[in-house]
Amino acid sequence: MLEKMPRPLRHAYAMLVVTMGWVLFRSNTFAGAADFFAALSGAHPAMQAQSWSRYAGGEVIWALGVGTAFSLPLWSSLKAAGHRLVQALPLPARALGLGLGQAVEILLVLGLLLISAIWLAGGTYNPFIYFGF
Amino acid sequence: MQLAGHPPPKPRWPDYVLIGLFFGVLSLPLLDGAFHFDPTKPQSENRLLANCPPPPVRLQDVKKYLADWEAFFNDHFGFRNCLILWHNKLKWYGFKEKSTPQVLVGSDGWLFSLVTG
Repeated sequence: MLEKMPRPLRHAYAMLVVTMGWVLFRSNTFAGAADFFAALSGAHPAMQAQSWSRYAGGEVIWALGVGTAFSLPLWSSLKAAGHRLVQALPLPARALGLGLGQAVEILLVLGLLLISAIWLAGGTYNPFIYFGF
Repeated sequence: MQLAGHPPPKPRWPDYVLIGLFFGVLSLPLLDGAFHFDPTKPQSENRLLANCPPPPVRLQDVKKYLADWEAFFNDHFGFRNCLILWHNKLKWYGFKEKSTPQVLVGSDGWLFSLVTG
């Protein structure tokens, strides 16, 4: 049945299942997960309304934007465009262009690893500033 | 050898380079933990960092030992000072966000404490 669905609908279904799956990892108990699902579906109104701006800072919006963009086939499209560009080059320059593209990809992957390490390390920063004032 | 009708084989060197560099980058914190070559000054946290806990003697101490060891690791892993400095700078210059909720950033470089007590 899933295979007969249009691709955007299949994608939305996969996202929904993955997101709901995260609730199970996040919850300590099944009762907690049930509460979470109820809150997500609107059946369990929040005890206290939280403003959207409390959580949606620049960092979160940036991460959501980049995450959304790269959950689409953006990277493979960029690679295909780069490949077509390299193929249009004269033969001696083609190998150089291909090597350059692969080097850029390696640098991007390592950059992503470094950013992940930086944000993981940042989570351990726990300053106690009271005595400083 | 290239068979007729088949595309030329994709070069493998980028995969090997990526695996090597990935392994190297992942090993850096371990190497810094052993040899301490991160020159970054520690970011002042104004607290005592966790000490390495002694190994547990009794079985019921294992859980506490693991928690203490995690706290020790979080305070002492390699390149921690450098990574935290970059994190603070990226958060501030990239997103205008601060790394601690205990401070309010004012104009002209002023910082205000939000801690009451």
